[in-house]
Amino acid sequence: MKKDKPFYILIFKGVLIILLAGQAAFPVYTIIKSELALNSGAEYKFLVRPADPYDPFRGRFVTLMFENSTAKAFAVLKYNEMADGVLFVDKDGFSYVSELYKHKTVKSSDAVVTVRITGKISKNAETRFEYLNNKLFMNEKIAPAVDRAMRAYNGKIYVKASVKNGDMILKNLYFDGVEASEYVKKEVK
Amino acid sequence: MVNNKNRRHVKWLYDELPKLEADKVVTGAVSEKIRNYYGSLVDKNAVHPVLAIFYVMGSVLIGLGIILLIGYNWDNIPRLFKVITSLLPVTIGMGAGYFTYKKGMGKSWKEGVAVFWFLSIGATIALISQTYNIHGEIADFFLIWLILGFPVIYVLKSPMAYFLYMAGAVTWASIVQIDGGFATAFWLFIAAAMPFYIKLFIEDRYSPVVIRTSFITAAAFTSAVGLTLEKCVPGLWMIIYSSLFCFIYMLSARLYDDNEPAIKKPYNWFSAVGIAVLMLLLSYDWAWDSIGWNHYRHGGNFYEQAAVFDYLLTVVLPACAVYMMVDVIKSKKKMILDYGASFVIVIACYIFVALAGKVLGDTAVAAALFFINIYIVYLSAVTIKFGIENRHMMTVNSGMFLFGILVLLRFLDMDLSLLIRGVAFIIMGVVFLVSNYYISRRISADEKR
Repeated sequence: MKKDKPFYILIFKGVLIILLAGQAAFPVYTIIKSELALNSGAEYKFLVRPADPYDPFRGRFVTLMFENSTAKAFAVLKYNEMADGVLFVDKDGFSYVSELYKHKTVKSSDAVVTVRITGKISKNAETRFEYLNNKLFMNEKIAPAVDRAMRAYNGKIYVKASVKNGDMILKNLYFDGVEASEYVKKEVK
Repeated sequence: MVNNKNRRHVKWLYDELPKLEADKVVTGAVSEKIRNYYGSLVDKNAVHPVLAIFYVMGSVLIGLGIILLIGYNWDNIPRLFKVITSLLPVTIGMGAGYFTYKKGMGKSWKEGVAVFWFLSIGATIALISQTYNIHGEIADFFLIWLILGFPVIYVLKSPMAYFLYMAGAVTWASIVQIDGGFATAFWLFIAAAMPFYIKLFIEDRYSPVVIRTSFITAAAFTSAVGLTLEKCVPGLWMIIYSSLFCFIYMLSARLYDDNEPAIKKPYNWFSAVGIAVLMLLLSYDWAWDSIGWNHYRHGGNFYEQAAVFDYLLTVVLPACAVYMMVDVIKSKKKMILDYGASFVIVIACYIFVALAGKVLGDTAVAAALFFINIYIVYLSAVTIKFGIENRHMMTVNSGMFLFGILVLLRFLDMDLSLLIRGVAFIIMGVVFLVSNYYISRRISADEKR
């Protein structure tokens, strides 16, 4: 008679099968989520400044420092905790987070972005936060040029992003309306 | 086929069979029956080293090539094409993995496919994150890669995938610690891969693949301890590391046969080197400066909750080492204690400096340093003695090397003129060469006799 395998072996095999399915499911899930945000999310413009480039696995990018990095907290939040940032648009059309709430508590599909708290805070106080996506991947030749141009540019630099269900997908970087790679190409000429 | 565990014994028996037949102890038919019972000694699944190197190198090059092409980041490619391309590596990896698993291919091929599959997961995540500008933190990237890549070890039973997984886990934990987080989850990663390794070890601990894998495991454990310590109570690392190395050292006496060469016993030499290096580090006063609970650290990057893990290791590891020490004493292999009991000296010195440091100040540290230096001299002496007694030149040289390093370090500490240092080093070098010459001559003369 065939001996039954111990229960823990079956559980372990189950975990392996789930993870194997995850190898296919995770990339597909990420693609679908990002496509949904890009195609049906609301578009916002955020003012940015440059920081530092390069990632050994994913190539060149420009790190963006969002000008908007503090907001009023309407809940007691901890350092490193995720939070809901409610988006507002100023008179020039640039977006910013002005209110912070506990993660997944604000009910709005396209005016809330997930952020990470970067300072110790108490309720009803201004606190520091960071946007989760601050890297814009670019061609390895263009990225350093864009980085240099950002440091020298005196006008308004902003990034366009799609927001849906807290996810923010960065689209493109602009120098006063001119797309970054176009701006750099013109400058080089 | 012969079970790996019995391979050595069966090989001996097969070598004996022709003699037994010749002396008419057994008949040809009986010896044939014995051969049929135990099966062939040739392992069809054994990794062919040259083939395995080519397969693995090929996979690594393809995998890295894909990652570099992704890094190039073409701008003019439409998003749809990028998305399809991003799914391609993992699809090929999974396909090749499934094919290899189903067809039961040779081990060398399996290793190559396992490496490609593992790297392909990273390539796909990297490409998607690049296409959509997401997963900014490199630690998150490694975390997802490790979790999704973990099944490759078990599906293809691949030591190379195990190596990549462990290396990835160490990298992840290092990044997390550097960024000011805590990487205690690293132990979960190690625990998840342990059943695979333990099975390999039980099957045949002396095979080259298992020796390499054991070395990787020992290295991963050593890094794991260092990376996950929160260090709120300064200096606990001395107790934890010395107990860990001593535990492994004494355990290795249980795990391996005495008559196997040292090179086949990775835990033995790894822990012995670990103990020696640790003792050399502890022979510096900076190691003993401001240690103990009187210098408790909190705030900033020190997480008091995560430090519970430090305290747990401070209790568990010495307890394990004491358990093994009792075992060694019972087994009457007392020379193992020369290295194996070093954790007792370290713990005693730690408690002494932590308690008496406030009252005695630098004198307490000086006393600890004195003991540690004397102990290193003792270790060198017993190592040289053991090497000479067992006619093992490598062990003799290890002992002399340890002593040489100690002298070198102390000479660099002291404010002596270049002339004195130069003369001392020349004398040391001459002693080294002459003693090597005489000992090797004596060993070969003994062998001839």
